Amino acid sequence: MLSIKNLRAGIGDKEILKGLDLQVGAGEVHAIMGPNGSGKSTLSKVISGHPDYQVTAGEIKFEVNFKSKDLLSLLPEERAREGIFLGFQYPVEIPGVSNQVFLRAAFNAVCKHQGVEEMTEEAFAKFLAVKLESLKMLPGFLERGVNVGFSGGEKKRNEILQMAVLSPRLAFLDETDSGVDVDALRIIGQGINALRTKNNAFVLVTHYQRLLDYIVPDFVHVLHQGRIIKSGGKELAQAIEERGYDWITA
Amino acid sequence: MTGSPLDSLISLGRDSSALEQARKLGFPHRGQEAWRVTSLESLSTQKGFRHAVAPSTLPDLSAWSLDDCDELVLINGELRPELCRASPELLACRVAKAAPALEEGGFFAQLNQAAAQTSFCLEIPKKWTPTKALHLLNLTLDAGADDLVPVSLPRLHLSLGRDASLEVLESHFSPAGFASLSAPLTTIELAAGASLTHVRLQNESEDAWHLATCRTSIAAAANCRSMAFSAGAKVSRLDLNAVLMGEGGNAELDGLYAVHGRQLADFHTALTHQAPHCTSRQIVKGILDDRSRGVFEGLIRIAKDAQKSDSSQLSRSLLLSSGARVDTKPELDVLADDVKAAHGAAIGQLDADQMFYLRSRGIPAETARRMLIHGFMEEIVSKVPASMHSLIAAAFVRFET
Repeated sequence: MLSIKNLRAGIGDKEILKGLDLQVGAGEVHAIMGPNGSGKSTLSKVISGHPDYQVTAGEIKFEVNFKSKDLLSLLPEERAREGIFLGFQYPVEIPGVSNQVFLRAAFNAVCKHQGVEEMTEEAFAKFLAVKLESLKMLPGFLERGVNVGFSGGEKKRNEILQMAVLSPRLAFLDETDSGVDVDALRIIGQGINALRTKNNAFVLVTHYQRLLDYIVPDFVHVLHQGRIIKSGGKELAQAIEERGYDWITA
Repeated sequence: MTGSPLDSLISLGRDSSALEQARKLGFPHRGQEAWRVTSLESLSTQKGFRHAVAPSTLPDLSAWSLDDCDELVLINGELRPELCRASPELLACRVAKAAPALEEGGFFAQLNQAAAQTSFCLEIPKKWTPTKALHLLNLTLDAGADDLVPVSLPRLHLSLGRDASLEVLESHFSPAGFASLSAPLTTIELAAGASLTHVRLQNESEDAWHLATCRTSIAAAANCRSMAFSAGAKVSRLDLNAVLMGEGGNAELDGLYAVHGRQLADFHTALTHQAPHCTSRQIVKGILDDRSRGVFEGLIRIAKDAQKSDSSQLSRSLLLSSGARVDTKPELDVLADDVKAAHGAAIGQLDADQMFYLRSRGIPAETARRMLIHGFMEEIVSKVPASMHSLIAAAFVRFET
């Protein structure tokens, strides 16, 4: 589904990703772990097309319906419409734009591109109510400005809500577990698990093991100095939890 | 100098002290402090001026109309009963008397007083609240075929009796492509305990000049919520002056303008806390595209006896183009010593992180841009009563998503 080869990218003159390779197949859950400054967030931003980051070498191929697309040639909104989702480490507050208006605009944009019929306002409201319920979010949440005045946990749940609404093919979740209490973490974990199918894939970018208590990854990768230096199964995350990164990075 | 174009403007006035005042002040120019940023050169170089003459056949008014309000229509400042739609109780509030004279005021306020052919006065009796909101629809229309600029001088006076309340939209329109000068003068008096929501909308032709004055006096425990929206006109200006005259009064003087092309919008406000224990709030927002210009000068004056005043003022401008320019000058003049007064001004562009966030969800860049502009406006637009919403939305329709 996703194939990254020899990716080099950075911000300004500073190279952060230095020849990164990663393969993600449909139905898989990957965890990318690594110490601070290893390039985890940069990878998420580059996948989603953040304009501040420049790719200097390598390629990212994304397969949609057996067709391979060059992700780097697409705008951020085009990537989203192809089914890429970025769960933000720091979700952005947008005063004056209600969550409901935002979710519907995003949903319609993605539907339109994928040839799915857009929902009426009424049908969409029903569709949303179910998603809200599953994430234990109150309906009043929809009237509020996007992320405005939300607690850390609410912001992250809102990311999962957006993901549930857009049902992406590939979700890159950047530190979704940071700034979240145990209860919210459990709800988030359940939310992600509920969305898993054999046709989509998840990449959990995380510092810690704790999200992986709820979502068991098929593959765990260690990112260090802009490259993946070790890959393994879920037991690798366990080993990092116990022993830290030093034994791998040294 | 006789026979000059500006003489033809002054000569619209009758002999009066207002005319003397207008002569003395002279046509505004940038050497005057109050006009140092706003140029009226496009107006002063016109061939000449005359009163606008309403055509015998009127255009379709539906685009300017509000279904859920009582509606009074003034064409070139003159009330047209055959176009009005209002309850008998509201119509009974119209009083046939001259609007009170205003001694101070700038050139256009004096010109209005000297040259307005009629005035419209509405008095809401004490303790009364009309069932519906009121729309005072002001149109500048002209049947003339010469190359003189038609001038419209609406003179409006609203007074609310003790504990009365009213929601009113004062709107000003002219048909597209129409180069007219509209210089309305509105005076408002709120008696003790009265409550007014005064929405003002200027959405004139982009070839028109709109140079308006509004004066509001607010008695004890009265509440004035004012929102001024400006979207049209080549050059527009609102001189808004409000005075909190009695204890416990409250004034909100918000403004929102959006300009593009080479439009200029100017919002001058002066708010005086004359009495103690009053509150005032002001948020003025501007959205500027292309090579447009915006001006906001807001003075808050707290008189010596106005202790325990609580005042805040904020201006925020959103520049959508590197060619646009805004001048803001918040000003505090505090003579009392026990007051809360805060003010601030910010000028910025669309937030790159917000843009990326929306786009990362599949929303096209252009839609994302409009959503953010909409969000920027919402803080003020959301205060408008629902019955008036459609005309405000129509004025800013280019930001609809």
